[in-house]
Amino acid sequence: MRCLDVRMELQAYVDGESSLEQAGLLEQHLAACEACREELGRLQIVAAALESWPLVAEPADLTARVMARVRLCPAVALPRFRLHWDDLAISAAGAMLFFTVMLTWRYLSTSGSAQLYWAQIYLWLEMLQLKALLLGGSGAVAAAQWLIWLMLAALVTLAMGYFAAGEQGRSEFVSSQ
Amino acid sequence: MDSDADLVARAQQGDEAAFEQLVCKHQKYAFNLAYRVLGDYAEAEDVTQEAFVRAWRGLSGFRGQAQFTTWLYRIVHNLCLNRIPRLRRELLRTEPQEAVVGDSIPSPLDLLEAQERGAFLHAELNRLPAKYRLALTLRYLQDLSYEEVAGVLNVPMGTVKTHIHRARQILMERFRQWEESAAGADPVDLLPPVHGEENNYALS
Ligand SMILES: [Zn+2]
Repeated sequence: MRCLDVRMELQAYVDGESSLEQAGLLEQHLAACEACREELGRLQIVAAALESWPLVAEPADLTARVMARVRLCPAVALPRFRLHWDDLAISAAGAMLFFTVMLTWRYLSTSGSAQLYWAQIYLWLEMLQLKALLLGGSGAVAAAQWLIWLMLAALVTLAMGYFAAGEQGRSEFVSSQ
Repeated sequence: MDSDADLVARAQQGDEAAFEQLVCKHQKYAFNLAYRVLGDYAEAEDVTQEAFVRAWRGLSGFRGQAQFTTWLYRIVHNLCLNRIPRLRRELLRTEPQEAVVGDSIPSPLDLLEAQERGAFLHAELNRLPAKYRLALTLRYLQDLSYEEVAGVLNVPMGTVKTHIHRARQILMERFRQWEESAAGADPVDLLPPVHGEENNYALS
């Protein structure tokens, strides 16, 4: 074996990847050649340096920081605010149809009190349907969302009813209470 | 301590404590892999955090044919590729090339003071191009096989072997030069630490 061939094969030999036959030939050469023995020594020193390549210390609070982020994105997705655009479009179309009918009725009717009641019932149903579509879910958060939504719905309904009933309807509504 | 497979199975059921154990167990290696590739402590921390968060979110897709560690290293590696876009090209190149200036990890040791050969070689390791540090780290940090390293890096196994071979050749060459310059210098400054064999080596 020539020195050049030995140098090509030495890394595999250090890694324990040489065949028995190759290893035998190498060892024969190494026994007789000081230059190649020195090369082997250097390779072993380099291999040892690779094994002992020092690790740097990771940040002390790394686990805590990772876990803080992990807790923000649970693996099992909780119900979250989600828009169902198809259903939303149907709801919107329904609402527009209702307002069109209501406005027509408003002009045809002389009394506003009946409108006010119908408007309220319909709006409540509409708002509840929207709530279910937009904020579906369960648990304390969803319950709180429901409460806020119902209060909002009540306010909107009152405002809509107020304007829909007109002057006459309002006075009739007040006197009927 | 529980095995990775047990911890992964529990974490897949949403058990945060089990996942925390996995983080605790593997953060050192994940962080050091990122640090050796990126060469920047703060960036390495960002990447490590992001890798674990992605692992958590993607845990349901982890089927367990692979080791958790190699799966995690692949995530770390991909995040590093995002930060160093040219690294992907570099990894696929197998022709010899010299280290790029400015491509090294800052070393705590001043090279002029790195006269002990271990310290010298570790400083040289930190100066290798990123792709060689990456391949060497995966191979030697946790004794991954060439095949596993190739799986993490998503390159052919022959390419991994070439990189590791080439990296060791560069180290050998630098070590040879260091020995030559050390032989010509004042021996008093160059005495290696006194443990047995190394001492004999210096005196012979
Ligand atoms: Zn020889």
